[in-house]
Amino acid sequence: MKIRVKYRKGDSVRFLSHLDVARVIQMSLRRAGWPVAMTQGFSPKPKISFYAPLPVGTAGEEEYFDVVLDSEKIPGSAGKKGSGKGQGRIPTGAGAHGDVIDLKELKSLARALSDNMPPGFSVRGVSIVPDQEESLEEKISASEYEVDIKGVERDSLVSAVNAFLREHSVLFQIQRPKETKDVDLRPYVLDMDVKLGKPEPEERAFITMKIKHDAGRTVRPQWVLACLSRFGLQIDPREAVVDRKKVYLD
Amino acid sequence: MLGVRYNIIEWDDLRRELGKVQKPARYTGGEINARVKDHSSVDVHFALAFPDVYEVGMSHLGSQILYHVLNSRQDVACERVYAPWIDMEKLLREKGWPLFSIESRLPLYVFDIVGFSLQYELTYTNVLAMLDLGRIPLRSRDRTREHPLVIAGGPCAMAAEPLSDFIDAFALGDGEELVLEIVDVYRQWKRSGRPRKDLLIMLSLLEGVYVPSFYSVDYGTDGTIEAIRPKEIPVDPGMYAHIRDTLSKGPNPRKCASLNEDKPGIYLPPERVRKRVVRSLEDAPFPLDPVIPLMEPIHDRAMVEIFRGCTQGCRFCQAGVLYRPVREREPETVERLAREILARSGYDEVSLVSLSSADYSRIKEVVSSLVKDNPCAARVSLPSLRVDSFSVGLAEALGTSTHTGLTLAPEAGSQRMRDVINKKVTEGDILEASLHAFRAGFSHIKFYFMIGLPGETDEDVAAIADLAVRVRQAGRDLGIRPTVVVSVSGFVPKPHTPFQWEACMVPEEIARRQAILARALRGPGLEFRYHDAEMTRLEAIFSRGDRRLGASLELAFKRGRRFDAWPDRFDPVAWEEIFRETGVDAAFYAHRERGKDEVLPWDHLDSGVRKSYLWKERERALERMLTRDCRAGLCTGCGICPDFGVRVRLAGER
Ligand code: SF4
Repeated sequence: MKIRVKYRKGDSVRFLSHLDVARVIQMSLRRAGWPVAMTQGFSPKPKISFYAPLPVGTAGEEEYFDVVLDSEKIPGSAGKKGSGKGQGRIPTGAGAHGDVIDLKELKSLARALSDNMPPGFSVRGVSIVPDQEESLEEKISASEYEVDIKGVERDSLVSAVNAFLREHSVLFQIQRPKETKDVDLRPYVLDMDVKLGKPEPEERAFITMKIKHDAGRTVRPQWVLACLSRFGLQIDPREAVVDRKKVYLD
Repeated sequence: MLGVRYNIIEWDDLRRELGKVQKPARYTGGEINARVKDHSSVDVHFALAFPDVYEVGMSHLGSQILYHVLNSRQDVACERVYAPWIDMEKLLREKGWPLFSIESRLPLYVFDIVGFSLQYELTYTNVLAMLDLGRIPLRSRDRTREHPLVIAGGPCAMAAEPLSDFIDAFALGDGEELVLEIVDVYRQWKRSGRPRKDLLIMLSLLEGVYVPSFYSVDYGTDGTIEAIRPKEIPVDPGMYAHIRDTLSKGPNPRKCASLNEDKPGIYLPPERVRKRVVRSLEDAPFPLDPVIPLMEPIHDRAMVEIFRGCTQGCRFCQAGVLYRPVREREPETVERLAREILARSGYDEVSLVSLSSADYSRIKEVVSSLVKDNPCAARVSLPSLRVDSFSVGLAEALGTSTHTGLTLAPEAGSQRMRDVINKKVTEGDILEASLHAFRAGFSHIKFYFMIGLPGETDEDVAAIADLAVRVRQAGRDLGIRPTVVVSVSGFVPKPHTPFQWEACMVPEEIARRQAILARALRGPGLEFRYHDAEMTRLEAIFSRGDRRLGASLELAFKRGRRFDAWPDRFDPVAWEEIFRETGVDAAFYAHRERGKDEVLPWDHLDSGVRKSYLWKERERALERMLTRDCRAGLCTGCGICPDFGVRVRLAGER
């Protein structure tokens, strides 16, 4: 049975890499006693899938992973297979296994997981994924980011953002250790807006960006920031504090 | 309560800068089981300082034990600090930020005590860098009452004379009891309002504390040491009375610190400082809630120490001397600790650690019980296996993944050399262990060897390659295509070992011998790896060095030398220049054989193993005579048990 967990990667753990997050979550699941199903084979791995990974430095309010539970070991419903006739039991969809889990049981697993996560992480919701549902990766259509910047001139910020949005194509060069690649950021930026914070003590501003995911492909807000310099905004994208506020599912 | 004024770096400022450095999670803490205490409610702030990067430091069991021991005390807040990587040091300097602890981001200089863990000589430049970044005067003599007490422990502390200008006091031997005694003395001193020198005197009354500034070193015209003597320390009447009280009531009656009856007001520190020994591991504290790093550490698993000490008696091995005698945990305790730590931590592997885990007298029962039943269906692993069929059988019983391969350390290629180093392993053992491994499904075997051992000839070197080829052939005869990896390091004669008098081979000669192996180890199924011979030399200089190397270390720090143990950071040319400018002859320290009666820079630090025993072992080495393991009950006379009033403790004989 597959469970989808919505969780938070908070401000204090924003500097963890995606691999770190995956490791932390696996350990938290074990501490919380989740009966996670394992892959077959020589070195069994827990069946967990992560989606739309966040880079080092970016926090996320609504992140997701899917985890397959071992139906034999689910507490309270261990080994019970059937059509979910019992009260409060939810059939997990028209799955081949037809497993059921007690709603209360699911909630208490969620609580246990949240309690066993390191500070900065928490569970924001759990749901049962119907067996035949397509992978989450396919369903993610966009991410909404909030970019917190300091010490910028307001007028040039607003005009740079507007100028960016007026363009049809904004090329950005991605530098990787072995190659450089040009990507057109503009089609990915569905929307971008500036919210000005209090002027004191330092100029502070927030840019919200809605960025498209296209069959798993997307771009980073930092790349967009880097390109704003072409439109008159001087900013070091590494100093921006980037949070993903929301992930849009179809 | 912190007496010094300080600012804490704001999180918002830090998070806007950390995007500029590699692996920023090294500096942000927030781990499960990290302890953040209310600073107004504790008396002593202790910084546990590890002079290497976070992911290395977090893999060190000793630091986890001390963190646990210190934070178990209500009046102590212990926080961790690691060596910042090059990019982070640059950032700290650009921003004008001091080095800070990862729990509360307290600047290093506000701590009461800064305790370094010295695991490896090539971290010494990092120690200096951390002091400087932490705004603590580098040299002990420049520190005042307002500065932290800077101490250092770990195996290197038993011979860390090159650091003696920079460290106020060294803690020798097992730390879990001593560190709390140091904290108690510190509190007592702080309340007394006495000068800093008195703190050092009070500390030197503890068994296991070595205050280097209380000793003078005389050098002969040939540059060797003539004598290392305790200085006569003038003390005021209050201090005099305190010393007299402490000496009279013990608790360390074997200490030989004294008051000079002829000269009132003079304190004489002990001529030799003894390392501390925890009598029984069974009663020693062990963390059930170790700090669990959020970023992957080098060793990503739970650890349970099954015994301390090793009496196999390998003559090159420093740990085998420094951690004597053998003290085992009871099997029930090992199992209970392992199960509890696994359940609480969520690790999927537990490692039963020691210097030679197959030697644990109850290893079979513990392994089979843990493999059968543990809360996370975790793997059980044993580091440092012996080279024999029994050990491979254990690895098999553990279900060690045959993909990762098996690592064995015969240390020398020829029987002659193995006899010299007292590695009681025959070629038959090695082949049998390999065959066992191949049959169990391992196709990848890694062997560790040393070259440059005393009396080694080209034939002995070639024997390493012959052995690897024979092992490969044994695998092929079984119908598999094995990979045999030969990893070779240059031998460094270490202080407190029977080989402490030996010369370390010059890099050119080590390189020539590496070349012999590189030629012989060509072909399918053979892989050859080796260490930088220049790095071996630097390690030899600093592990065998005396106080005169302090100037070289300081210059090296100023020239930006950091992380010298990291191959991509190590710069032998820069070091050569540093030694030239500070007038140090590398050959004098690294490549010179010492005479029997020469005073060695660590002779005044007592490991418990007598120098006469070490010399006897050296002579036996030259005659290829083996010395048995005393673990089975027959004492070989190293001296620690009678001299220190301790004993070997095997499981079941409490
Ligand atoms: S004194 Fe004897 S029994 Fe004790 S550690 Fe030394 S050799 Fe072993």
